[in-house]
Amino acid sequence: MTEAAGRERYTISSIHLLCVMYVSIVDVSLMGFQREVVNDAGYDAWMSVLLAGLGVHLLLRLIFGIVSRYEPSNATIVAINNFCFGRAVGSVLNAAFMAFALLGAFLTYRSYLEMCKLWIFPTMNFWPFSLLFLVLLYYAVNGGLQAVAGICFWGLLSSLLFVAPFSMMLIPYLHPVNLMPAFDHSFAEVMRSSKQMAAQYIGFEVLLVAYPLLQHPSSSRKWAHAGVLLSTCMFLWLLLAAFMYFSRGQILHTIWPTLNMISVLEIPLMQRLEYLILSIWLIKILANISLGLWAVCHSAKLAFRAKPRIVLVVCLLLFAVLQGAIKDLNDIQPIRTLYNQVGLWFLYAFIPLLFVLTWLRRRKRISPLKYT
Amino acid sequence: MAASAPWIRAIGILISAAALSACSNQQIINKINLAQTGSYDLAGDRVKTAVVIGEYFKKGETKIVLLDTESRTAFDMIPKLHAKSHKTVQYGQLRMIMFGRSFAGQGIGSILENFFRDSKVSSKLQLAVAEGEASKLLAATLRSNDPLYAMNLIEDNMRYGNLPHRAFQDTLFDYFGEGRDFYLPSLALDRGELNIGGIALFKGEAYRDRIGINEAFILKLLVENARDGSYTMPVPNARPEEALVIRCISSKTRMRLLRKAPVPAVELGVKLNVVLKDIPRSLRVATDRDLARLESGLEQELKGSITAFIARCVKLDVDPVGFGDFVRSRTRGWKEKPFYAAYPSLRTDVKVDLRITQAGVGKLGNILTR
Amino acid sequence: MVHTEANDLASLIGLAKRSSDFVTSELAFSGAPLSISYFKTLIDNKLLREHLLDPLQTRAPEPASSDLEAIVRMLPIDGIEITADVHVIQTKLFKGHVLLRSNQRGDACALIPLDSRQGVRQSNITESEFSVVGTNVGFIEDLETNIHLIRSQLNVPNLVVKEVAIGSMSRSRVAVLYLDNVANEDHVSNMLHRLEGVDFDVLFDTSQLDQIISDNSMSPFPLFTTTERRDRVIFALLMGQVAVASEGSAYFLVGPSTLFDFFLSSEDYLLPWTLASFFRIIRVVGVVYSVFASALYVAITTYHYEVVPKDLLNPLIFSRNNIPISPIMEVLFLEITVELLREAGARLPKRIGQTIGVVGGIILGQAAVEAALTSNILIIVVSLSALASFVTPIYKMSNTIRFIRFPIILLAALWGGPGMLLGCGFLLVHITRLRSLGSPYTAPFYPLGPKELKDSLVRSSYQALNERPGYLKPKSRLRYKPKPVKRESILDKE
Repeated sequence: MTEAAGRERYTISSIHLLCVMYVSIVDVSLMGFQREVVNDAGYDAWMSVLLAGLGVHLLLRLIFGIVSRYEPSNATIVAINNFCFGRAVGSVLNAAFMAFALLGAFLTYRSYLEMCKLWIFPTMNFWPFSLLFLVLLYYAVNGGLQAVAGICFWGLLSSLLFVAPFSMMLIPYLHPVNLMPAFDHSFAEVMRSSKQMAAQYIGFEVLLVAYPLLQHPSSSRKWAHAGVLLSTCMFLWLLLAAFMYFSRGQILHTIWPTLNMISVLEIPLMQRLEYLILSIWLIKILANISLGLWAVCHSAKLAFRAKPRIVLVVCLLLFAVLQGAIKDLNDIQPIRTLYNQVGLWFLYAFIPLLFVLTWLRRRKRISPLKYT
Repeated sequence: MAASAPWIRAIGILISAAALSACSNQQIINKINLAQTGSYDLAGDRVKTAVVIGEYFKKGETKIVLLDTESRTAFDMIPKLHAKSHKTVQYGQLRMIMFGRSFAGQGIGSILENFFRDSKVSSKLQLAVAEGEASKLLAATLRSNDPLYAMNLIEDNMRYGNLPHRAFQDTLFDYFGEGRDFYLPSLALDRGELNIGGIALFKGEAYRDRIGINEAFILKLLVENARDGSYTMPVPNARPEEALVIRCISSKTRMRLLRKAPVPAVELGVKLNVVLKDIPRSLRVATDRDLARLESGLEQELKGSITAFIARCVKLDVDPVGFGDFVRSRTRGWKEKPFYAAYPSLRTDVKVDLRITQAGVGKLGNILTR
Repeated sequence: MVHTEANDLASLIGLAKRSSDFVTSELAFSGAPLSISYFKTLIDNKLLREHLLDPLQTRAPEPASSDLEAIVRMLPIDGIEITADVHVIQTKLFKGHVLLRSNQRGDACALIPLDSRQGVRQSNITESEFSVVGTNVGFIEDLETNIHLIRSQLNVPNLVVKEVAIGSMSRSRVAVLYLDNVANEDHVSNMLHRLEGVDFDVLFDTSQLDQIISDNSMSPFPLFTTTERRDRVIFALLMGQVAVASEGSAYFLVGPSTLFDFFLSSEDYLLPWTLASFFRIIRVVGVVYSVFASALYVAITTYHYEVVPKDLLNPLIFSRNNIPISPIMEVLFLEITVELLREAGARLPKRIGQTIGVVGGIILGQAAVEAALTSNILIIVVSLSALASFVTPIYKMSNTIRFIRFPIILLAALWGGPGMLLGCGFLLVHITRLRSLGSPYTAPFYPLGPKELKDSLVRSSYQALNERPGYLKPKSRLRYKPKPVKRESILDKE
């Protein structure tokens, strides 16, 4: 086999970056982010979605600015950390990044199980189900980025085929007058809610790991931006739909506004579509978790020369052990707050810092870290 | 792929382990009793609850069974009913709840909130207030062999009658939302048959008053683009006992805010197309001028009825139309309290634009002068 | 492994002589003694007389022509080989050649091809892949005829046929066909490499090769298209795929294949593209229904009674009312019944099979409902999904579809909707990871090829199909230059 064909076995074409971006951004929180952003900016929170989306586009520019200054085969956060901060500090940062990504994947995993439990099977013992889910995760991540990106593709497709059209069926139930009067909140309130919204976008930093495995790294920019745009549209639509569907007091009493909205829908031979959507959502969640786990395993390989398969098994065992420690939604919430806090610092402080450091050191020669 | 074989074995073990755990959670559809209609009543200081359960033994026919129980609180309906049924009672198909008038007078907020929190309860649940005791009404539906008789009655009247389209979600919308009060259909017994008595108006969570089925049309006109309601009104310029019925084909109501404070003033522009039904013989409409005169006469009548209805709501201090919500949408920094302090002096300016549509095969004039 | 090679000619003859159908006769030709050996079951007696015995006996002996070359030159037949290589001799002897030896000249033999074409059927109408529109030219169990069928329609020197022998016992000739100006070399060399690496005893059919050289032998999915239709193979060659045929099999193997290849029928290209697209969508919807319908029934009746609309409650509950077994048992009972009917129908002779299918289906179904073993709604669901599973034009795929339903049904019985989707997740991960001859199985969906989507779920018009699919990496993308369509408004011209 030629070398090009050999490389092709591990890389993904840049169009799939769209799926990867969308899936990494839109996770379980799509079902309930409305309640979090409505606290500060009320029904003006749609501005927060736009602002947060804009912020992510800027960050994406920064990320591409950083990686384009490195050799394409070496432009991962692992190598960048090592280059900017030296081996010792770099390794600590890499370990922290891996822990962060792992936590993100775990939160998604646990939240989804909790959602299924609360909504569909309140009395079920979820152990056997979750173990089989972990096996599925192993099978997916073991296929490498190509398989993971494939699941991301199916995840995006399931979103576009089911969640989006079904939410369109909500239109007759909406009260557009809810949105009025617009601009009724102060700038500070909108900014606070934008911060909440920005946290929903955490996850797209997986690009910093996957970048060398893109077939045409240079032409991938537009697809990355398209992915972010698509997720912003999805957030915006579901936010507006929820604002028009629920009255102001009601949305504060709703844990998962998206699911609650969908429950009113009916198709021939089936009512209560949220049962269907919540089940189909599994594919999307699978993609999201696999992506996070893949980032952890791949970084571990690059940073510590660990065997990814072993790392994967360890991570999944960790999932199995930790999921028992979390009893219900109330246990998840503080962890999520912590994760969001760290994520926002990572995105809005650490990435600009990396950009500046890279820019300052660009004259220096880049150490030819061998990419394997 | 050499690693697959042990994985397949692992999955096999998992599934067999799961098979043991899964059984406890099953709700096989013919092994459970589906509570489809329920009721809440006050019985002294206790709560009497009842549910109607459908038993599907014959094709296309349903035998329905009434189970009732009494308890100190309203929330242990299902566990108490389990004890009375040979199959477990599940409420995931619950589509109709009736509240007795006295129960509704005490407030139904906690029930609404509990149902809202429960993912099993459908957003399309219908709620209604019974004149008198709800369980009696429930018992009256037993003959119909339809466990959802009351719900079908209500939904049918929403589609073709005078009830506005509402379901559990809309009630919650009003209940939790600011600047609105919710209202529910009111059911009554008429010669042993269930019928729609009108609409029960609520203030906050408690029953306040009810309006008749004819006035319900006015409410329907104000809260939605009504279709297919009918309204009985006196014939303009005729003896007071003569009445005609208009049937609404389409309608649209626009609100305009005239003044925000201190006393809010709202203009209501009601446009509707109607056909005439039950026309008295004495009414002569031979020319276009007659028609125009009839139209303006009906407009005046309707305007009077709408104004009277709003005045009644204001007097009762209830806001089913959602004037508060409307003013909120046009006002920055709107607050509920000051608005409802000023509510009794709310000024409304009603404009009605009524058009009689020539429906049917004959010329209108001919029909009218028949 | 069994030792199958003779070391020298004498021992070969010795081994062969133990069989009663091995004939060795001596005759003298212009004074020199000759011996003829052959398996009488492998050669054509008429040819033997016409091409060998008659010339040897009637022709006047030429002077000094007692060596093999001279005798061979005299025979009215081509393809005679003179060799002393005992391996070649063994192979050819068992492929229907007659061994002609001159007793004077050591081990050199002339191998005269007189193989009989006994047992080859004459009719080449397709048997399992039928189409209503278009020809039904199929292959038969003879490699030469099959390659002839291909060549007669592809009249270019670029059609390359390469042969490999497979099977330590059968030594079947396996031919690899491709268009050398279209097919990607990687695919050709990969295929040849895999075929050369095969160690197997007897190759019964090309379908076996599918599994032997498959990229993932654990998968229930067929990774190569197996077809008996000439138009399918030619279409595949045109697209840049590689075809494999083997001696004694009426089936061709085509690869690299994608999942979607199994949903294409050659009729699709003969019908107008609007109709063809409609039928394709029907096929895909049918397959999706077939995979999930029974599982959905189990999930809903076991766990999610909430999703049943109120008007469906009565029929659904009523039909399940007297059934003593749980929905999963009910579904398994019925599904396995359908499998039995299919299996019995396939094994029995055609007419009886049909009768059994109809009678068994109707009577069993009726009786099962009346005995309250299954609900009649389920009968509809299961029989419809059985019907839908057969819409794929390639039979192998419909077997796969029938198989993968069972795990999903079981998962639905365990965890309802999420369980079903867990099964669906395994399925998706599995097909995403699959590769056929190294190229992705789920193309053109993943990896997404916007251009290739034109011939996937829908078949676009021939104007749009002028390029070969990129996922096959053909040497040249362009198939033909489409005629530009002018769409004029009659209204404008009037």
